[in-house]
Amino acid sequence: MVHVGLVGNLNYFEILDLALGFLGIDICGDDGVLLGHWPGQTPEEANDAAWDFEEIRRTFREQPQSRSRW
Amino acid sequence: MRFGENARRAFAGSLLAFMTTGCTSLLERSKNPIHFIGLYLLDRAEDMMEAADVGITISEEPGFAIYGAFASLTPVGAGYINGHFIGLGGGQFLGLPTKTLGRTRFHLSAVGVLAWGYEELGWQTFDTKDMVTLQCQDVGLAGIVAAPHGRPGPVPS
Repeated sequence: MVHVGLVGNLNYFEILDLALGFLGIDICGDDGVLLGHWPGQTPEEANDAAWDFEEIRRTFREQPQSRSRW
Repeated sequence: MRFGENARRAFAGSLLAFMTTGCTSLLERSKNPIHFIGLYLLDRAEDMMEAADVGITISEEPGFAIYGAFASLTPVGAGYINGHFIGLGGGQFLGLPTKTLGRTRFHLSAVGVLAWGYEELGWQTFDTKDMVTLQCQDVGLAGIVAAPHGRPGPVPS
């Protein structure tokens, strides 16, 4: 069985990124890459933050399983 | 006089934006002037395709999502979808930059309680167990002060 849904979203910051991109400014840090990074971060710092968050996320997701053992 | 003052403010704002954010990486990526122009146009085309997400999702596994947020400030609802997307979204249109023509892989996990919300998005190439490949962010008023998790999604949206 196939499930279908609707998606509608306007990305205001990306519109600004498009406008400023004509001036050589890349506020989303996504020129030439699939994923951007936050302003003030380097791509490496964004990856480090993602790995740190992955630990928290994994702990959060596995929490019900560890409780069920008791 | 007023025009001059506004122009100075606009210039100062642009300069601040330039200093606090980032310049394009075109100079590092381009090999020659023609390549530079090509990459410049490609980047703008990609930016244009990232301006909106409009389409439908299809998934074989059951998913559910009723979620909305105006300007990322009023997140309400919840949703989980892991399937495919047909349309314009995530910087692609009908899967054109990918090998899956007509559709692209799509993942959404989101929850919002107005003052705070969390959004997790995956487009095209991603692994739901690898946060480096996903866009994730806190939204809502609490999201403004929360520290960034990893790769940002479109905010505000």
